[in-house]
Amino acid sequence: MKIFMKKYLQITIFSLLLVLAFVFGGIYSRYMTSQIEVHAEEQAIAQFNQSLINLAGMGSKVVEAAYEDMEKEYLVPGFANLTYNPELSGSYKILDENNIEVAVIYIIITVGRYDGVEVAYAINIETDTLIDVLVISNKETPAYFRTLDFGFYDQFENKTFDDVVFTIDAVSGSTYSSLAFDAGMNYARELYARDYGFEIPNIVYEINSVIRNFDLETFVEKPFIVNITYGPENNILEAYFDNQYNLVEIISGNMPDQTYLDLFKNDLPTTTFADMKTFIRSYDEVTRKIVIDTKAYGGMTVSVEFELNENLDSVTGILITSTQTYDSDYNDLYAGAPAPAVENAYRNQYLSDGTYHDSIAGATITGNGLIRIFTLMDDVLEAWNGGGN
Amino acid sequence: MARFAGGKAPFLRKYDEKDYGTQVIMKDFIIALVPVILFAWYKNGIQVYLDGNINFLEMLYPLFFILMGAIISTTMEGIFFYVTDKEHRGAKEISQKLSLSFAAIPGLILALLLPLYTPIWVLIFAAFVATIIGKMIFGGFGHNIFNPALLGYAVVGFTLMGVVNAAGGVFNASEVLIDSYAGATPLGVLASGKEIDYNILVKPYGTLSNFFIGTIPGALGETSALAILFGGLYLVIRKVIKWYTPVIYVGTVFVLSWMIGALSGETGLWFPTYSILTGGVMFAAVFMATEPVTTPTNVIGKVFFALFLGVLTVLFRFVGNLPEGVGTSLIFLNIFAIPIDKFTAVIRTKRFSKPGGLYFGILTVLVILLAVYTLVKAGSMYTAFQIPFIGWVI
Repeated sequence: MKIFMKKYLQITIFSLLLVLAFVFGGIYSRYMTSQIEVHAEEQAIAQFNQSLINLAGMGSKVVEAAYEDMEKEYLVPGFANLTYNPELSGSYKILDENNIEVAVIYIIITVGRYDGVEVAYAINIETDTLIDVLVISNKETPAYFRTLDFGFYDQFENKTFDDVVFTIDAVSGSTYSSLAFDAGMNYARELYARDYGFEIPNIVYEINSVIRNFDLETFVEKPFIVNITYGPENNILEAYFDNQYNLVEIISGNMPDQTYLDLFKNDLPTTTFADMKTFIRSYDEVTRKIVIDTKAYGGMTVSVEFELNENLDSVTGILITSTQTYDSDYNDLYAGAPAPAVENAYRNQYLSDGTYHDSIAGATITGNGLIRIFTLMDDVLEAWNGGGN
Repeated sequence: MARFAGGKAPFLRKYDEKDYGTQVIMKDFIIALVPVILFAWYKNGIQVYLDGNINFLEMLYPLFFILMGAIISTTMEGIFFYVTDKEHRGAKEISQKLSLSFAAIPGLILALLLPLYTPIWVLIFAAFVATIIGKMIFGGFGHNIFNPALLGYAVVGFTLMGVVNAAGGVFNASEVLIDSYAGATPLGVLASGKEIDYNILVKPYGTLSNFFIGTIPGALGETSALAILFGGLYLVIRKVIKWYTPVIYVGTVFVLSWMIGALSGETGLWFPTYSILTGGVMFAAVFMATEPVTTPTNVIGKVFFALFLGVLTVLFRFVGNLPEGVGTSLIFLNIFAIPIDKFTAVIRTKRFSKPGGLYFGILTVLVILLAVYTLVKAGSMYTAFQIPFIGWVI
């Protein structure tokens, strides 16, 4: 050993140095490279947390909360009977510098035009108000989603949870996406009520019936006759409501207070007693033209002008005003001719034999809109004459 | 006519004086590198640690990396001495040889030329190329043709830069967070965009003072012109290097860059300033263009070397497909260091009489032709302006 060391000591030391440089230096440099990803993740989390603090506009620290989903069904936009349960994808507590919780943020996934509208809802736990919202991700059609402007988002700012009518105004052209926010906001309130003991204001009332008013003199201004039981004393109200669901005239009962009126206005569109999406916009006694509107694809209005004969018992002409886009790039199910082929098909068939098509593949929502209009027209003629067109 | 020194014997050589000689020069060289090393550590380690973006171990890494360069190259030279000289394998003998060979310097410079996240095995490979192939095979210190560190750097640059970038590249943990950098160095932006615009080339990185101080992305030792100037000033005061070599080199790059900018309609001085403060221009000017072994030794030779180096740097950087340009031009010129030295030695002794004048003329015309070619080619790349006829030919 001594001889070996004497002979090879230098080369052994140099070789060892090189091996050590290779091994330990390699481990160190590997560690440095691996740390890049670690720092990137840390930074992403820090940025995300900062965005939550910015959203809340208060506090200085974010702590992940362990709140869980709850069972609560909401209508899938565009469907009358199909419901879904929103998903809580994350929940965070915002703490101040004394580690006292000042706000909570629920990140909720809801359904708009498509599934996956992920939005953060920040709630001030002292005032029970929604502070603001922040879109995390979505798969909505960008062109439509962009129409949700500042005016739309302003509705969420400092919105109190004490509102009986807890909703926001949808943006025309992006109705489904708007409904996704609305469902998310309501789900956030439900979660908040469960997690923080908040009592959601609950007013007892019931819509007993909604029927259409076909009286020739008043059917445009007072299209709906609504019967409602409301209040702790079960007051009965029967009244005319207009196309915007405002109370126009009381038939029987007393005028309810504004909270109830807001509630009626909010809930009447969802009632199934009548087709609340379709309205008689105008009627001209001289020209005998009646105009009926409905909301179809994309929340866009389809308007049909019917010209009646002198006896007011038959349709002699139809003019359809529509901007439906069933042949757009977003709809590859539609195989027919370009717009307005669907509108023309419905009009021609109705004029020829008084019937209407079944839904047309790829243009279902447009077709259903037209069917609703023709159905209402039939109802009007039947009410006036006791028969069809 | 040859000139001779006159005087009384004995003639003592300056190199025999206590505070002169290659050993002292190399010590000075290492001292001059200290501000550069410290700044590299500060910018990529200490400052990033203070920003809260890395931990303590990561903070030490830049210094470790630079020291590893020195240790690896010294070790390799030690092994080379041991293997090739069977008669002198004693620890003391090898240690003495290493000391006379300044074994640590190629590795030290090499580490400063490489990005922070260069894997250690790449550094070992580069050090092998630098020390063994670039230096020892040619006969060791004083016999090498190429600047050893530069050779190692060039081989890595041409073969393993993808590996280096995959491991993290030049951006430290604070720089990767700056959105405006967009993952590119200032020279990378110029090379990819081919657009001379202050808002694109300078503004994302701050102001030109950031370029001067060195708080921009880049290889460990090349970003801080200020630290390099400190080192250069020390070397000039210690008379280790001649002041005019870096000045002429940087000046040539400055003037040609200004002309290229002017041809594209940008006459401001920011662009030539940007040009000399980016990449390795300043580092090469002080620490590599002045290297005594691989550059000419006489005054005229140094001047022509610096001029050629400046022109070639601009040519490779703005016309070629090499965003940096400095390393390639230096390696290229290393080949011609001896011929330039020989020609210019004749000029120095013969002045402008035959053949000194001829040599002077040839070298001057070559520099001018290269400069004109660079301007014509670069000008047409950065502007729609084309010089009629000439542009079609070259």
